[in-house]
Amino acid sequence: MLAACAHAPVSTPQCTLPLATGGDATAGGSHQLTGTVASVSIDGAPELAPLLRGVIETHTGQPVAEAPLAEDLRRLWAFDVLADARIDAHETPAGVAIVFAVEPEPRIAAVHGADAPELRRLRWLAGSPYEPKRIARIAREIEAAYLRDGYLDATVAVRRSRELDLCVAAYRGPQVTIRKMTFPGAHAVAPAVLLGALHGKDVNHPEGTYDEQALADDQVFLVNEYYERGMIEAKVGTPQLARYGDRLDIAIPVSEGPVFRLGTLSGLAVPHSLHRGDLFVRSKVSAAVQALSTALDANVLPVSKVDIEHRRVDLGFEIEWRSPWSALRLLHWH
Amino acid sequence: MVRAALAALALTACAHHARPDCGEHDSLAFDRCIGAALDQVMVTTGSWAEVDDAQLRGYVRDVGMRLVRAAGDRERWTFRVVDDPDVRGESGTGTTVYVTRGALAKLRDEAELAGLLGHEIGHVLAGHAHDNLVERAREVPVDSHDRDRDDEIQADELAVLLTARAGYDPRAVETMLRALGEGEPPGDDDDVHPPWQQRLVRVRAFASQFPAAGEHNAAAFAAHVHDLVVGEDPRVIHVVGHAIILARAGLAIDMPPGSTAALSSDEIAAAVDGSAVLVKPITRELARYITPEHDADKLTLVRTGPHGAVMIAITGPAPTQTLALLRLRAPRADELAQLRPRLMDPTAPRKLRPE
Repeated sequence: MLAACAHAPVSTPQCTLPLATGGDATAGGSHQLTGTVASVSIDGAPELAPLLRGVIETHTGQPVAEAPLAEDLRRLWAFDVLADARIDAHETPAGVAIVFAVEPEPRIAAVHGADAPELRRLRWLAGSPYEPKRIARIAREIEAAYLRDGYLDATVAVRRSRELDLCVAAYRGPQVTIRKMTFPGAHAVAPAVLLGALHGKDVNHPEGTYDEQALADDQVFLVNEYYERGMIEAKVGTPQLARYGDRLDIAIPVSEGPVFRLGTLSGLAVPHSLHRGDLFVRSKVSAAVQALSTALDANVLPVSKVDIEHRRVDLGFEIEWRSPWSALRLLHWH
Repeated sequence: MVRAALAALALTACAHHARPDCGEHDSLAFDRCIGAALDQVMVTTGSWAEVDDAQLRGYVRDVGMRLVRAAGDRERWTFRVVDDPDVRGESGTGTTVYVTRGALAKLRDEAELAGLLGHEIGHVLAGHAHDNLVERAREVPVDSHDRDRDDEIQADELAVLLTARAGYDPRAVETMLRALGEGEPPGDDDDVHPPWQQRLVRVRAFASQFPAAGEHNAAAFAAHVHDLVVGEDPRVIHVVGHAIILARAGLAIDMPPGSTAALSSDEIAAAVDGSAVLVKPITRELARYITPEHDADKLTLVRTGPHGAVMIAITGPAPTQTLALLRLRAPRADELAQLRPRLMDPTAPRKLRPE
């Protein structure tokens, strides 16, 4: 009974029409006319006209041209409150009369199938303007939240009926938790250290849930563990997933590469804490550069040259003085 | 898992308070339980202290509950009027809504107040804070800008919907926004609120679909806000002569001649005998959790008065010697008479953001 509930849809689809995609801007007919703009008006939404008028830049007396009119239409659409917006232009003895014919979005009559707490954003759209793009965005966000919580099979779809009812079909599915995480190819850094580099304890850790985006974002921290050990050619590959029902094994392939050491250190000033032959440790180099910048009151820019054959990183230190007097500090540094 | 982390988050905030037992409820009940726990912290520590006007608080609560009932929600909600001159409305996961007196001072009728409360109630009803709370608890950064902006649009819509359903004129939501947005920049890509012009058009488009009717209740609003303080309240902290007066707390601190003091929001920075002295009023509840510090060049201590407390921090070569120069006493009647807060005039013209 519990298993059946857990896998049951959060809500059931009740409509069959596909979600509309919204209108495109059209500047119907305007390109066929030439001459001067005699008048500009808005037809179709008297309550909105004063506010919409604020973004229309076409004015009387200017030549009729397609591009600025299309730009006006684009700005009207950008409010996301119109179901339709077009330009009706006709010639008059005084010139071309430009009419922006607009139609406000209709309202959503009711929302069905959104009783679950996590679907509240959709439930409370009842009575709001019908905006397909926003509705699709909200549905995507809810689906993404399900996925982040480990409901890897989750889908959220919203359809509309002719009467402008929204029907939400949300399926959450089982929550999938991680059984094990491995790092094939990792020898120099212990798996526990690599796991510790990942954000969050409940996400992307054994017994936690899998978050694809978070893991992708965290790859830089995994690579950094190797940069701290001189392995500047280390690469972390795409995670390989193996799912067994509601359990997941994740293997993150690692290519460690050789260990690099510091080679020549050159420049007007060289950090005292770095020496030829030392292991190349990125945080140590970064801290040394920062210390040198502070001491010289200058911007110190490290320039690295990697010697693959000899597994060596030569570092040059370029100095941008913040003031002419800063150069005097070199005397103390040396 | 996430729930355990959420509970831990609330517990962190409630470090010195009773542990909230939010149980294993469904997420709606859990959200509200966490929200109530955080509200308890904010209020007892004085972070969001309420205005000292029971009638005004009751009035705001009644308007808020009218909207809540119009939404079909049968829960008990709390509405707090925060004693803060800034213009803000706030809500979280729980059924508590906060509006500052600075925001109230911008309004002119009950329908606009309903619009302001309706926006915050809308955030709560649609569960907007829930995802942010979950993401914080998971310690995994998520780019939520688009969602946050959609949430602001929805809160504006629900403000219109709830004011209309409650019998107010929903057009007041637009004037409320224009009043609160007066002088604000047009909006930028980093702000989670849509640009002002877009907000106004959207709200007007939505409100225009309701009948042009509904209550405004300007007289009732005016009757309840005539004692509302506008701007900084000198009774919180102020300098009179050579004394720092904390009228609310029932305290005064005499400074030696030659001292200088500058008022900044709700604290005073003074130069006394070559030392920097910071004087900040706090609640007696918060005072319980401040540990006095005494170093060679720094001294922090708390003194309590009949109605509140004050934190004094001294930085300088001889902080103990500086402290000895400060004399703590009760404020005198002549000093209190000089503290006259500016009160709201609900009939005064106000600036609105242009259409």
